[in-house]
Amino acid sequence: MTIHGGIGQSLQRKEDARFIRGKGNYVDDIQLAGMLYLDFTRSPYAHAKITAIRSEKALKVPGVLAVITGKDLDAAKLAWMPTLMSDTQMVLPIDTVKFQGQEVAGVVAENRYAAADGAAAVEIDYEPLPVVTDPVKALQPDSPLVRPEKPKKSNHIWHWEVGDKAGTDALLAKSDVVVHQDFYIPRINVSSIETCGCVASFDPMGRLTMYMTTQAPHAIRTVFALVSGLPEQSIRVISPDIGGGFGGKVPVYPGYVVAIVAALKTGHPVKWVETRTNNLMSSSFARDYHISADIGVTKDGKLTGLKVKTIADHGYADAAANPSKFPAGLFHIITGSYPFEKAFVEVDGVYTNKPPGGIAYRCSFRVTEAAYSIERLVDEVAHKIGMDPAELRLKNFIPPEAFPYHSALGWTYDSGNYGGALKLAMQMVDYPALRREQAEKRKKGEFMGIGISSFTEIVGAGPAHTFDILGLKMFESCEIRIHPTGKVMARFGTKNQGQGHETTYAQILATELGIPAENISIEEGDTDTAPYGLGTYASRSTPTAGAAAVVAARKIRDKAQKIAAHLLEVSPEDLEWKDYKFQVKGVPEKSKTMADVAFAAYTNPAPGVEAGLEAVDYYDPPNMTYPFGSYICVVDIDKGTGAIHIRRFVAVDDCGTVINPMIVEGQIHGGLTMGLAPAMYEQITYDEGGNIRGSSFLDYLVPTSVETPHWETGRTVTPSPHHPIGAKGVGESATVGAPAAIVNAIVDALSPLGVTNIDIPVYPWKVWQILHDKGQT
Amino acid sequence: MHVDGQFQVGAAPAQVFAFFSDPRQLLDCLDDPHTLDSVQGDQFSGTITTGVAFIRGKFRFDGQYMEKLPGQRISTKIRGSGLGNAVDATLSAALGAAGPGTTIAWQADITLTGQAASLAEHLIRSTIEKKAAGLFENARKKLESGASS
Amino acid sequence: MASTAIPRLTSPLPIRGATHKIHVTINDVPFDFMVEDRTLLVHFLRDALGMTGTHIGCDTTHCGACTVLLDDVPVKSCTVLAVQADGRKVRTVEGLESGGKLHPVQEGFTTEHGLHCGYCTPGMMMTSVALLAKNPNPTEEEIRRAISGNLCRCTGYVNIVKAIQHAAKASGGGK
Repeated sequence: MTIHGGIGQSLQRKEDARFIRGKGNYVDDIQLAGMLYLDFTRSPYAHAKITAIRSEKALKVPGVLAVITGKDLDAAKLAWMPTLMSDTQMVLPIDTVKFQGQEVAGVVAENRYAAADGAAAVEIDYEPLPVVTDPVKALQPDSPLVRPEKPKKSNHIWHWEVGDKAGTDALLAKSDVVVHQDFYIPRINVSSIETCGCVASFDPMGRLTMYMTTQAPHAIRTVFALVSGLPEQSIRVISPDIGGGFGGKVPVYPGYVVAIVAALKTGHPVKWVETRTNNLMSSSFARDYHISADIGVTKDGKLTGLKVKTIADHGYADAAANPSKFPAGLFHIITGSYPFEKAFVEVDGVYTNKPPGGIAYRCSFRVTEAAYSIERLVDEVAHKIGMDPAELRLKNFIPPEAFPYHSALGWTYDSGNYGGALKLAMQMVDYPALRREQAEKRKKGEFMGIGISSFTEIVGAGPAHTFDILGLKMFESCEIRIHPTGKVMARFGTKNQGQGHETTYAQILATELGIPAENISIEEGDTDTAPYGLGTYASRSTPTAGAAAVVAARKIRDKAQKIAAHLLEVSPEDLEWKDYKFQVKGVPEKSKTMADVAFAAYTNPAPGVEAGLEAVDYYDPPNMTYPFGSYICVVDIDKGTGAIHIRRFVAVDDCGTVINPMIVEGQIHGGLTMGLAPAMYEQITYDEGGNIRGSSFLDYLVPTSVETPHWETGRTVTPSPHHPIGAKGVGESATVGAPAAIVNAIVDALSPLGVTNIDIPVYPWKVWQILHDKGQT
Repeated sequence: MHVDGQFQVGAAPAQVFAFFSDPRQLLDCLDDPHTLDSVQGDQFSGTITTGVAFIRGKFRFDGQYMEKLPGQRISTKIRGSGLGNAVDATLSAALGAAGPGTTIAWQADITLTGQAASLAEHLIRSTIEKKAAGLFENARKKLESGASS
Repeated sequence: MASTAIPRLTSPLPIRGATHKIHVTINDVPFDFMVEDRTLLVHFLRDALGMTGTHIGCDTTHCGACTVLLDDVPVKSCTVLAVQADGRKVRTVEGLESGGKLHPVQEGFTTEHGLHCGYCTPGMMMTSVALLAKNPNPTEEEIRRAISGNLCRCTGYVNIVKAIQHAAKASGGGK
């Protein structure tokens, strides 16, 4: 017996109906009567004193109504705002700019062209100051200070460590082999195709409606209330359709705040939408980790200890989007799929003259940095001791019977079968045949590589005892209303950005309530109507809100059972929920559906039972979920050009119970492409003067359909024991797992030349340079 | 970014010096549309409408003569900004007598900051080199035609 | 023709610069408009006509979110002035559905899960429509080449290729 649109079915997505007709409703689609546009004059310097701002010419541009500067904001104590990580960042600068592209003056005009003209006409005088863009140099005593106003008088922000330092050192000292490797994980930009933006509008009673590109509307409402002093019930945040988030739409950017101020100042609704160039210069940055690692192994291939030191470049403010207690996110998942006896991780946060970084890029708080490092290290160990990397992994994996597994750095992994996933991937790709082919090719001097990545993720933040953002516990919510006709409206505190919530949540509820998915509507993103939640990022929606949906539905079932008993004139204990309806035990023909019960709940409720059929649940997950997978990448390298051709890429993922196989596979395809991107194409660099390199899609290389290979996917299912339906998160697994597989394959191809590492992104010129230096071209 | 070159004209060093000492003459060597809004002693300011790739528009600039050794050497520093970009340029010319004419060894040191500087470097480099060389090439033509008239 | 294909005029914006009168056929309906000379076609469609199905994703003509058909040729409407549409036909995503029936490309995208956030989708579909009009039987390689000017950040393209193949098959072609 199945229910239409229930869990496990590849249900066509409900939200598609509007998107394929061009009827989505994104922030820039919103037009309000009398709406004005906001644009910014931005700093050409990475570090400079502002000596004068002259607005007169801008105000003479036809259509320009106002110019807003840091001094204006300072009068209202709004020139600075708090970050999520107990730091402060500028809304608009009062006297110094800290990075190139920083917003300096906001110009409000009647259309976007006039606003841009006005922004170009604002005259600003600067005195350039010394610039530091390298975090290693920033830590030296003679470095320019990025935040001289801070009492510490240093570019060092914080030190964070976890694990057993002495124990790890001792273990490494007695390991047969210790492999050391440095990795730089470059700064990248999420580049969702929709940039960030908002429309701020006050009603005559002073109530603010803020349409904005946010992944966490409720938390944003609270932050706005705390920062602005507006009563929280006078703020309505609406996150309409979002054109991709990937973590870039978690932070509060200056544009949002200035739009609110501009709306107050002008009495008109004000729209601000970044251009792509604005976005690439100032928003949505991830990574920028300088990692130095030592991994120990016995001569027969048993991994022993892991020690990692990292410098985290945060730009001019620590505005990372992490849970409060984790300044380096969940980077300490770095022991990965292996039972290290001891491990130690330390991270130092550093200021530089760059925009704030530290958002996730389709990843759960620094998990990619961790997974990339450990999976690269394991491959290097294999090459070093002459063991096949698959064999080394299979020999070391945490075994399925060891779960729940307590890692050396303090996590409790819920479930896993790492060997199962790797063996399936090896079978799909025919691993032994590939190794034979590689051996043949090597004899002929050809470069073919096979790379494996067997990652473990940590997603679904998170348990209230450990996880909060600004003190707000990271629970998640679902509110269900079943209407008299048996139709359902359910609302969530999360926010869809393309993940398919309107479909998958409906599928969970279809199975739990026995109502077909087409009769269930899902809403998110309006803080006036949705229950409070912490939002969607870090693959947390299914582990948290998905669980809330199940628990709320089961609360409804409890009440419904009483009403069904009343209708069937039996006692509730005589009923069982079977085949998606309430049946009298042993008399299946005596039954009531949820639709029958819903009608009765409003027309004929049982005596002593409250009318209506609604429930709400705020779900506090007992643990994180730990999705995993094994990826195998096969590359061929062109000796003449260094071009890297990904011949095959097989991805086996395990996210526990699968709600919609089509959507899960789609998420993996997308994640793989955002794993390919930093491995081979994307990076944001800065020159000595702080000039950003990569401020447009001319230079920032988002993979197109031509670079992207034809992904092949496979699946194992190891349910989460603590999630009510056994599901884990999946939107980011592939972004986390893919880069190491690709780089391992490239390094494997070049290993006969003695290559052990190439910094990402691995451009063809880097490969060509190696081939050339080794006399291969 | 550094660009330099050398050329010879029939005009005498004093004449060449006078030419480069006049911000109007100097500015008119630019191919891009421009205005000279004020001249006060050795300081001058105005606007230039120029661009590279998709970054185009009006730049405001302030200029100042840094060195004036009549008949020998002249240099000027120009700082401009606009559209999220800033440019610092030092243009200098060393003059040497060559018969009745003058040899001019010129150099331009240019620092570009802002979005334009983030564009593909070779694109920027070649554009700036072209503009600097174009300026002195126009100066040569003007001096030649001035000398012959 | 679906009613959604007709522009819904929003509040007129003050005109501050020189204008031209243009005669343009949008999704089969002819119109005359006064447009400011410097207005880009994409802003004209979105801000003046309220046809917000055509999106903006960059400012350098790389992402393709703004792709529309101009006399049946896909163009990035962020790099076309509205005045350049004078005397020509513009087709947008709003004009794909016909008589309440989805275009095969629209069917293909939803059936094969060729979209996630939906932001690149209109431009991606317009490019696909133009491809299939020229080549009803494209190979995977030809599809990937044809859509390489349209960036998608969510899907990884595999299902977009399948969506276009699906549409090709439904229209009688397809490999």
